[in-house]
Amino acid sequence: MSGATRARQAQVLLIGGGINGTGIARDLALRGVSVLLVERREIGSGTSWASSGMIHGGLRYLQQDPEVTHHSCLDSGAIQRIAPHLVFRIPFLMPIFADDPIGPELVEVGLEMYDAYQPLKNGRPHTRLTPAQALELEPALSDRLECAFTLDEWGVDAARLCVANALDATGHGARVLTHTEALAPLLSGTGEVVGATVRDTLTGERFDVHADLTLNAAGPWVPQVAEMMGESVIQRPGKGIHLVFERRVSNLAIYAKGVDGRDMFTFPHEQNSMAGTTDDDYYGDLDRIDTTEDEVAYVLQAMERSIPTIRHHRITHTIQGVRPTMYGFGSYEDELSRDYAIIDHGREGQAQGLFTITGGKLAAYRLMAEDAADQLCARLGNREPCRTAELPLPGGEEEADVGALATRHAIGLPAALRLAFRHGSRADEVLAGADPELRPAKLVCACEPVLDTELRHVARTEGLRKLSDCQLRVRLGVGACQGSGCGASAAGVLAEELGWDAERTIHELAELAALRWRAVAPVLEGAQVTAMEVHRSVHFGMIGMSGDLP
Amino acid sequence: MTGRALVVGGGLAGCAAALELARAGHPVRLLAAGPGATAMTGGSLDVAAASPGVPHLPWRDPLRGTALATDGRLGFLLSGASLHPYTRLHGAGGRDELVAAARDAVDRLRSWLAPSQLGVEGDLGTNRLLPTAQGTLRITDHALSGPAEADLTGSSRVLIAEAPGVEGWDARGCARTLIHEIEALGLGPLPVEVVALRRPLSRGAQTAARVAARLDGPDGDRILTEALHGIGTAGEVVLLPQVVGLRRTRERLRGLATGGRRVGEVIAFPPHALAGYRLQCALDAALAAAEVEVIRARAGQVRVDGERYRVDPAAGQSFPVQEADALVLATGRFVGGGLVAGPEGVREPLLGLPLSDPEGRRVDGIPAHRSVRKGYGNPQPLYSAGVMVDEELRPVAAPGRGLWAAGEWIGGFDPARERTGLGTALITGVAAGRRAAAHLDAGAP
Ligand SMILES: Cc1cc2nc3c(=O)[nH]c(=O)nc-3n(C[C@H](O)[C@H](O)[C@H](O)COP(=O)(O)OP(=O)(O)OC[C@H]3O[C@@H](n4cnc5c(N)ncnc54)[C@H](O)[C@@H]3O)c2cc1C
Ligand SMILES: Cc1cc2nc3c(=O)[nH]c(=O)nc-3n(C[C@H](O)[C@H](O)[C@H](O)COP(=O)(O)OP(=O)(O)OC[C@H]3O[C@@H](n4cnc5c(N)ncnc54)[C@H](O)[C@@H]3O)c2cc1C
Repeated sequence: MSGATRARQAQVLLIGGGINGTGIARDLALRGVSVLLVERREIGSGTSWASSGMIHGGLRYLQQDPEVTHHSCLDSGAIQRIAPHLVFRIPFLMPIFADDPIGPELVEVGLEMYDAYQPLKNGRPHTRLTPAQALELEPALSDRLECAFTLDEWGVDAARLCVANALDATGHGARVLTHTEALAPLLSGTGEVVGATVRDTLTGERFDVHADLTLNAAGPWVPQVAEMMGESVIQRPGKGIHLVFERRVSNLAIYAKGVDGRDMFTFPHEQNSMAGTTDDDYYGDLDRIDTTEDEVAYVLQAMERSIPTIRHHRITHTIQGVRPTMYGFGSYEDELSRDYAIIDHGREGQAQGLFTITGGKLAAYRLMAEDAADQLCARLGNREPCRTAELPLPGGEEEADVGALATRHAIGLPAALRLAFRHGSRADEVLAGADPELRPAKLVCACEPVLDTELRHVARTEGLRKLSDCQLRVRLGVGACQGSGCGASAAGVLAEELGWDAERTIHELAELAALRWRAVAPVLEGAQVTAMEVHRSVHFGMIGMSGDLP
Repeated sequence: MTGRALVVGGGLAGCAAALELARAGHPVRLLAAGPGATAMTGGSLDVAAASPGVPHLPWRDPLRGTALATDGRLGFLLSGASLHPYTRLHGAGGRDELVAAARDAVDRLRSWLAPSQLGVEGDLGTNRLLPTAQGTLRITDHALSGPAEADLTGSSRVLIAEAPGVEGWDARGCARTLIHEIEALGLGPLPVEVVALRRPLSRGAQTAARVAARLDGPDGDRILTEALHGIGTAGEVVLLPQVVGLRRTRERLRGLATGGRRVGEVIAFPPHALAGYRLQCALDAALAAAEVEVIRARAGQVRVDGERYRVDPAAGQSFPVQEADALVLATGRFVGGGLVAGPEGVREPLLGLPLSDPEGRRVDGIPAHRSVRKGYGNPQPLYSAGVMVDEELRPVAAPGRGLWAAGEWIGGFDPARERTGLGTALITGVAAGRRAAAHLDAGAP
């Protein structure tokens, strides 16, 4: 067999590089299964990135679906063990108002039940605060509150968690191809699915991937991919948006109630605060999900009840995604189960060799991956045990010494902290990898201290392929400047690393700008209007206007 | 007794109006809240720079395929249904009148900036080829000292200086793109090379502004001379990032132009740009020299009492209510502060005037996000709207006869897309100042 052909052969072909696809790739690779994963865009760029990034225990499922809560809490604990660097504690504050549908006593009963699960995820039990205590913690809270509760959850950089899984998978022999789309099934003479024809969307190259088993892990695209394979999977797609604030609005995550009684929250997330989320049926174009004015109004109205000054804060952009929720009939979108299913199409449909994973949550990804991998391994006759709960993800091996990093590599403490958060114990490697003449590291963006060294590292060792991928991979262009300050510098660094010619470099820059515009436009208001005026002048002044910008 | 003249806005438009009023012998006051868009500009002064992709403003001569010069492009701007402020001013007189007005305004600007050693190079009949920090070419009519010296027209070779440590500067990236641009525009053969300076300009990693401040120090000239020693020969252009001091830029670059080589700066944008800051400093110096009384504060509201205007301080500002018989408003757009996007929608804060885009679409009173379109490259009502003016540059719907508008505050064009930013500020500023002066001369009130 020629090398080229072998490269397109695997025991398992995974379609979709969200948290499920990457989590399963890692699990299988650790068991010695040969895996090839295709992701049609960037790792994590589907629903995973649009999530709240909360490794929470699923308090809201406690009533309908305690099983989900249990799964989530258990796995939250596991994720903290294997990726301590990527996970951060988010204490929640839940203000209770006189006109709340549920009074404090009943809320506390629920929280007491939830306390029972907290030890699974290193969470502290809830506390009850007087209004004065709550206002001392969060002075921006509405002083109409009757009392408040605290509870503990955990957050994660979801995109980075996907990448960490993908990296560990590749470290154990898996192949991960981004910007590669599954187009059509490969069928054996007897009609079994034996892989797929895929297409590299950047080069246009098409090739076949032969695999014993194929797993559809395409999140909300699961029905589309299933249909392409001649099968049917029904979801109840639920769209959700977040508003992203330029900086932190509060220290704690703060609960709020929508006009319809839904729970929402404003929560600190990395440099920013986010507020969300919504949950509405969505049957539109999954590749062009836009936030609507109604959704923004709905979130802000809810937040305003808890934080009356919320509208004074600057919103830079929105993120939006569609939950791959399991199909259920009749219930409100929000009450639909977040549980998941693994479908063996050979058994439940026609397509032998094809599996689908659908539903679930980020927080429970590891358990779901274990379940999926168990089923695939059983089919492959592989008896290796799952090891994803014990082995650390890349960077999770030990704690990075931030002070030493900053000193050794002559970078600022905030930049060092940021790298330690993103790369854990490998942060030193990221900085040491740069060629001597490129030291000390240069600041590419000032909104968040993104260093050129990190860009070079992800280009060299993580298979990064596009400037716009940097939005997720290194959080480039997601701050106040939306890429006007950093886009060109980053494009220059990547051009050098990836050998882009000038035309490609300019195209990448134009694409990033167009994507940022899409993220900003629905919430363009206040100071961000001014920032985007500068953005346009810089961008059009730099690379000229061309009618065919996306 | 002469009436009182007041200008609100300290960008190029406001300064131009104030300096024209002063030249006409009127005592002038100018209110400026702070730097606006003028201070952020990249080094080109575009009367009508080439703007590829903007349908109503062709940048290539359809017959010869070469880039149109600005005097040609102005003809296109005046034709059709354009609401560009240029058409308001000189629509009747046509292109020749506009060209004459632009020439005259640029001459005025030269005289204001000369004492600060800041030059304005170029004319409307030829294109300057100005490389940007990213290596793209900005094809424009005028440039300020610094980037002006980097005009590639007629050069035999381009040497891009590596300046390690200067933030935002990537000589190799600039070279890569520049080679491509030269080829795409058919300007070749024009070789481009990256060269190492003989000594570093920065101390470690530093912003362009810091390096410039260092080069303004006592050793600055020596550092520059040594850094460039032996680099470049006759006909060659050496490109630097925007670091050649905040002052005396022209004099220094001329000093460095030895043996027939030229040394210039690239066009750059915030946060790596200085050209606009130099322009703003030179304008401020010109205001001082012309004895314009500058009040550094924000105006709140403009009221009219008969033919006299009263300008109140904004909340938190303390200056006595300003009275004026002739008032020029040149407060810019969002960056300047002339338009505000707030929870009640976009508004013009001083008079609450209506705001429209080139297609007459109103944007005032509407949330900003409703006045934008999805595609980034599309015309955006939000960013091409401002106050509408009549042929006299008087804001439509504004009270009284003694009020004029200038600069970006005027709507009907998109300075970023169409690339007519500083040109519009200058030409309308001069015109508004002259009209205000004539109004006072005529014995107003
Ligand atoms: C607003 C919102 C908030 C949420 N908050 C949380 C939370 O706080 N905590 C939590 O636990 N869960 C949360 N979730 C749920 C969680 O995000 C999802 O359950 C999870 O991310 C789904 O991951 P996935 O891998 O199945 O899907 P995805 O992340 O969507 O991955 C599927 C991938 O498949 C790719 N793909 C599609 N078609 C093809 C093809 N033909 N070929 C190749 N690749 C293809 C897509 O590009 C995509 O990247 C939230 C969801 C939303 C929408
Ligand atoms: C990043 C960027 C780069 C650019 N680059 C170029 C370029 O290279 N070439 C080019 O030709 N054009 C360029 N432009 C466009 C150009 O800058 C503008 O079109 C031009 O400067 C507008 O001048 P102006 O005087 O009308 O407004 P501004 O320069 O914005 O001035 C407005 C003034 O009004 C003051 N003001 C506002 N409200 C009040 C108030 N209530 N009270 C008192 N004062 C007030 C402000 O403080 C400020 O002094 C660029 C624009 C930007 C944003």
